[in-house]
Amino acid sequence: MIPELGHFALVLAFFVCLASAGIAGVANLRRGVAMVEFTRNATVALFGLVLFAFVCLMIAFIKGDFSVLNVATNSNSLLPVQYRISATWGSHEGSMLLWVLMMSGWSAAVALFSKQLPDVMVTRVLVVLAVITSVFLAFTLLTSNPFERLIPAAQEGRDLNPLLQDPGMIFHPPLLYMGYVGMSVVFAFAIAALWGGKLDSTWARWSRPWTIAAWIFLTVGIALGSFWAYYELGWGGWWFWDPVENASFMPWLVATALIHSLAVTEKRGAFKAWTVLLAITAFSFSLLGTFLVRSGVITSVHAFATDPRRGVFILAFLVVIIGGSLTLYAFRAPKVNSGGRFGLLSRESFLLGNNVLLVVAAGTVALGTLYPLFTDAFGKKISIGPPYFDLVFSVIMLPLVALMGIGPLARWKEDESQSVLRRMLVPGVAAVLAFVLCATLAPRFSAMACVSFAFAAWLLCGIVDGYRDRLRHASGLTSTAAKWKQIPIAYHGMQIAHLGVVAFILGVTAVKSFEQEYDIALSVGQSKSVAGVDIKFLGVSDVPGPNYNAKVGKFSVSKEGVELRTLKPERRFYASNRAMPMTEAAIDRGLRRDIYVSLGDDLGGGSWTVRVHYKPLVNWIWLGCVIMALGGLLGALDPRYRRARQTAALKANNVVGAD
Amino acid sequence: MNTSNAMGLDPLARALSLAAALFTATLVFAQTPAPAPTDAALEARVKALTSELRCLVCQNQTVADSTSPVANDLRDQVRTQLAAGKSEDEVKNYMTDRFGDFVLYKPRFKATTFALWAGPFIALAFAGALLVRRLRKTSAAHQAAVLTDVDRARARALLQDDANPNETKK
Repeated sequence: MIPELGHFALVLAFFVCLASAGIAGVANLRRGVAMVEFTRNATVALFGLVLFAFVCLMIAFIKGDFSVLNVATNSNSLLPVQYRISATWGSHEGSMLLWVLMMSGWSAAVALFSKQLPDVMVTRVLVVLAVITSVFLAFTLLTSNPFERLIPAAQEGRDLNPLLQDPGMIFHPPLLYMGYVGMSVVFAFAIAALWGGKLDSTWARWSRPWTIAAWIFLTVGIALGSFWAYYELGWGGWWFWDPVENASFMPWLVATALIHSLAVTEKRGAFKAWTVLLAITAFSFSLLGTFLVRSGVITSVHAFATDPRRGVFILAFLVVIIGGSLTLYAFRAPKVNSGGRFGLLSRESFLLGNNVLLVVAAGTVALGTLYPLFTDAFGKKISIGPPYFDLVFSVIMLPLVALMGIGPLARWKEDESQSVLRRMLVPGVAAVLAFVLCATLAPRFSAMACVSFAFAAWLLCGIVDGYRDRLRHASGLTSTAAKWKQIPIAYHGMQIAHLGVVAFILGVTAVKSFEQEYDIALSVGQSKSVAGVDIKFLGVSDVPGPNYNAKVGKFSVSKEGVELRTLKPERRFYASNRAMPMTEAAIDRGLRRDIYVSLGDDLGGGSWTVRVHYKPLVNWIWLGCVIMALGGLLGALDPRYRRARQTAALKANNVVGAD
Repeated sequence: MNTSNAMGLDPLARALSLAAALFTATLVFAQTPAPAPTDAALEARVKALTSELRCLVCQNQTVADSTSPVANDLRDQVRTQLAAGKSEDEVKNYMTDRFGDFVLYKPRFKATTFALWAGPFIALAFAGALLVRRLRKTSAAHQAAVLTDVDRARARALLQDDANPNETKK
């Protein structure tokens, strides 16, 4: 009964969505009426219905109702309850429902927290969101119904993929989807602005907090996924340039460009058309990602060809959305006053450079991800993996980091090349110093590491310089504390986000250049010394888990005879899939380094293969992402900025009222 | 004013080209061949090469990372061949002869992968050229738009007479 209720709620949600989009949309197009209360209520109702459906599915999973096909394929009576909950979004069908839930959640948030926006804007944004939601609801209902019954019911479920039975699965997909789907809000704001033909800095001001919010979720979601892969997959990698990862990384790159471009549009009124185009692109990439992940095209073009229903649906939607919004853009954009003049050497120019590099980077990731699909379609299978991406990507990223160091130091509108050069002097010296230090002090010379460290030093120095500049130029104040207080929170946000990039670069570089990896056979009592630490193998014991049996290895980690801790990597044999044991690495974590131990195969006679990694600064990678997200949070929360938004909204309300 | 600006840009351009030259130099430096192979050096070469090979029975995993028996065999194969004095390219050829181009994570530069390798750089050059053109135009407009006293007076007049806001110049 409960699954039917959920199914019914989902169907109802579809019609509510359709009604909201249709009625309010047509009313606005034909008569210029803003049915804002109607759309607001419909949007909240939509969210309620989808949430209800989602809870119904979750109940079916928690109860272990194997008469539901989705539950029978992705759960098991032995599955612990927290993973039954996460199994709700563990399958394709469940993922789609989660997608729709997030989508309607964002819409409801827009409906509830947009009181200061003009009615017509809110209506249009909600209509655009409702159109997108209805398409995804139709997709879910027609091709991926999560409530489909299995009659007769299965005696036992097939179980959730053991790889997904991890706390990472509970948090990673919802966070990532929040970010992914959040791009639709940004898109809706852009389309609403094009619809009304009014692209101005107020529009930028309205969409900026939503963009940053979505970006924060995307950042944290991607970082969490990487963190999870690092400890779960058991070979110590943290990013694989896997198509599924790339699918979320492309929108992130464009969203990052968008945040910067929105800043210029808001503050200087420049780049308006470009900013709108970026908003459209960000959402298009998020749809492209959905297509890649959800259509099965990734595993093979031929798998896609055998069951093309899902893929064709999303592909058609992708074409309609991109084509439609670009057409709208082509009609409206030429009328947009390009506005905001600036000199060749100005912060605007640097930010435009940032945008170009980020978009080319996103395009490169797309190329590398899609290229094998093209060649496969022509009968030639090739692989494109980390060596390609690492190389091409770093060539694009290094100039970006260089710009990141000086961009914030340059003045808006027009700067003097002499003064820009002068500001580059200290960061430049710091960069050279970092290069030399790295070349002389590092355990082994690595050009790539030294170049990266130089860039990180350059960026760090730029950040410090930015603050010094701010404090020096704070007018009319004498005490440093008072000057410090005068700095807007959004500025701290930017600098902290950039600081996150510094931490990220340091982490990536240190791991890539100085990590050590040993694939060894150890007998009980033997030890291996790695980076000044002794790892002694103490033996393996059998430990039963709720739905698996584990071989648990015991290793003592000591330094100069002093025991630091015991590591217990596992090899789990799940009841549902005995043939494929799962490795659970054990990690001695630290800010300076991780010691990562994973247990391999039993070689007999008490001897096991063991993989030991020494990963310097690896945690800085994720720490960097968290710092970036924190910076974003500060940027979105600047109170000065919210006040400005309210007064701007008041003004805009008056203008729209006069129309 | 224009000339002084161009003069001012000179040192900046020089600094940038110096940085570019330094960067290229380090890249060239990075390519100097490794010293005579010791065991550790051999292992490093094995690791580097197997990081570019795809484990064909795994789901998107390199031979270096994988612990599957097939990957173990391939690692041993690579080690034996490198130890026997074969070059990296020879070992790669050996692999592609057996498993096709699919085994290489870093596709070779050839006709079918031309767009893949050249694409990002063409895009970068194209976008860069577009950017410079756009910036030149904007900055020329900016130069032209530097306000004179007459402009200021006109602007003030326009602001006071706000009957037709669409025509006010920003």
